[in-house]
Amino acid sequence: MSILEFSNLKYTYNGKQSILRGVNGKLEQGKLYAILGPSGCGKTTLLSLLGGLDRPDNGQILFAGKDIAETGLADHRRNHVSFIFQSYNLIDYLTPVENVALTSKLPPLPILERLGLSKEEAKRNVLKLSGGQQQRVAIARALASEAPVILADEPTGNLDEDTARDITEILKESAHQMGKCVVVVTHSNELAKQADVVLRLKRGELFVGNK
Amino acid sequence: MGIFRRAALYLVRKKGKATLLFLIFFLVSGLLLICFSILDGTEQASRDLRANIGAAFYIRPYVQMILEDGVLSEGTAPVISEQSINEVIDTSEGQVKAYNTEHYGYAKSEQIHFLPGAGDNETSNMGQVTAVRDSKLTDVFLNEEYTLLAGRHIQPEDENKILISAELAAENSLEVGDVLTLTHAGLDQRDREYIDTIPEKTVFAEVEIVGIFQCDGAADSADSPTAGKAANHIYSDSHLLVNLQEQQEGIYEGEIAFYIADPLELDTLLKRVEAIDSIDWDNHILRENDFQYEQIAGQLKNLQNLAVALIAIAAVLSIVILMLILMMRIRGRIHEAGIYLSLGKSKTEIIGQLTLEAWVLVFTGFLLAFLLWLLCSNTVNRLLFGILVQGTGTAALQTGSSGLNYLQPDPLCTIALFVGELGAVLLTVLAASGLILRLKPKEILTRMS
Repeated sequence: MSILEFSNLKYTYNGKQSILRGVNGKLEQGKLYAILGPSGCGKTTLLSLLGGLDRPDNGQILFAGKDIAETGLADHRRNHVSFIFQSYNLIDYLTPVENVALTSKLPPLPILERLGLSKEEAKRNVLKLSGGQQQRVAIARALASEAPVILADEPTGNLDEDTARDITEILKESAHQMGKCVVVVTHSNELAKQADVVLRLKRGELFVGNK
Repeated sequence: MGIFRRAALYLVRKKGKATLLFLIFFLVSGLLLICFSILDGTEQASRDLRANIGAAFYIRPYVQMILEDGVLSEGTAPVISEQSINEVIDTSEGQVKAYNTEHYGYAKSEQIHFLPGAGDNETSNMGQVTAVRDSKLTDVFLNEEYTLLAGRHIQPEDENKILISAELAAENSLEVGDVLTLTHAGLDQRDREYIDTIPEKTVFAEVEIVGIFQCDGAADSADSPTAGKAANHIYSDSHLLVNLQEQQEGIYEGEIAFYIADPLELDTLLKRVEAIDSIDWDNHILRENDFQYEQIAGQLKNLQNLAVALIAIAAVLSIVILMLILMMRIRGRIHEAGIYLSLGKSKTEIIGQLTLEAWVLVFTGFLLAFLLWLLCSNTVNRLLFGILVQGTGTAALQTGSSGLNYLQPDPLCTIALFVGELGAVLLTVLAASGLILRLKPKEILTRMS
């Protein structure tokens, strides 16, 4: 059963440039989805619409069968989805533990340790961590929120090859072992190879592509 | 994690930014506190000065001259009744803090030999009596022409009490506490000789000397009769001349002086007094005296105007500076706001955190400014009002170590100022956060990326 379903999504940039021209799709829990496509084709826009960061010009997004426009976008962001960004988007005056605590009432340390951060690193200022460590904190924050959907925008874009592989593995585990619906926008073929479903966005339309 | 913890962590971790804002709030609070204290203090000082200096108005009777059949003669002596005095007091609505009545007569005593004047003889050896309600309010004592050497002044509740001059006391070996018997008398001149118009003495009053005054400065003319000599002048209470049957109870021939608390009210009060019908205004004139207040009113007004101008400048500058700094700070935190929005935090929660941080800094800045001003206000008070007192040449303000601290912050005004600052900060944060309220989370994050 699909957790996130969207139909006829249309989005125009500045009222002129049509980015999405009636996009449809169904996303299920326990799967890792990769959305591929050339730069500027609307991948991040689609992710933003699915995550309730923006509103489509037309179309409907259903979470567990309910229209997110009706339940409220802030509520959707708070309870249904969590984001992982390319630029990590951590709060710079909080430690990793405190950043994770923003979305979770559970103790953040075990999640951070599971993602490879030591206790000392978990209590350090986030700006003093490496890019890979910061992305692990961002993933920990997404996982800790207990939202069933994780939306990741180029999560490995700023990372070296080894770290990118680790992050991909974590996302895969989140989908397969934790039952999350993980949607990743990426240019990385390595990451796309690990995805259960590859979606390709071309000329404003979404196609299910081959792995 | 709630907004209280997030706000606390921000203030602790972003020390530089928090300190800068704290200093601005401290300076703004200090400046406003000082300005409001000066404004409040000058108003209070002005009230005290006015009350201490006061002002007076007088209702003075004058005898009209009548020309009839080519003969010029004096009209009837005008009088003021106790009822008219009460009407003046009532119409002042509490402004009259004291008043003094005067009535004139003559007295003799077998126990007193008055200092001889021109044409003195046994018949004309008498003294003039000025019956007053309160002798310290008479012009000669107020102007310090006469000074009280011993005893006390005549007071409104006295009956058959007198003040005599030091010379008369010495001449008759009298002192404070001595009791004399006075009788009525009247002075006139017949065949160039001064006579007593009441030769048959039927009324007597026992009086007590309650004070002795010095009247060295008073110069007598060579042709002054005995009763006209300053040294023979007797001040008595209002009852003595009534008891000596020289005055009707509650009727006064002399000038009535009214002393009021607030010179600012003088003009209004005079208009109301002039409207009193029971006073014969054809035979009475009103004169006013607020000379001393007028001398310092200008300087006080200047100080108050300065304080108002300072408050206006400080308030406008403070709001502008605060707006600019908070705008810059909040614009610098758009990315953070975008992250919070992406995590599902509401805009109210985000603005709440920004407001809370600013309020904590306002509170600490205001508290420090308040405590410092509390410590320094007395010194500034002495300097500021000391200059004013010196400049005006008046000792009506007590600003010394034992005096009043006019600049001590008023609790109500301080609370109002603090609440006002909190309100101004809230409005500024709301205005500065308008950008966040308008933007979609995606726009924020896209811009910052």
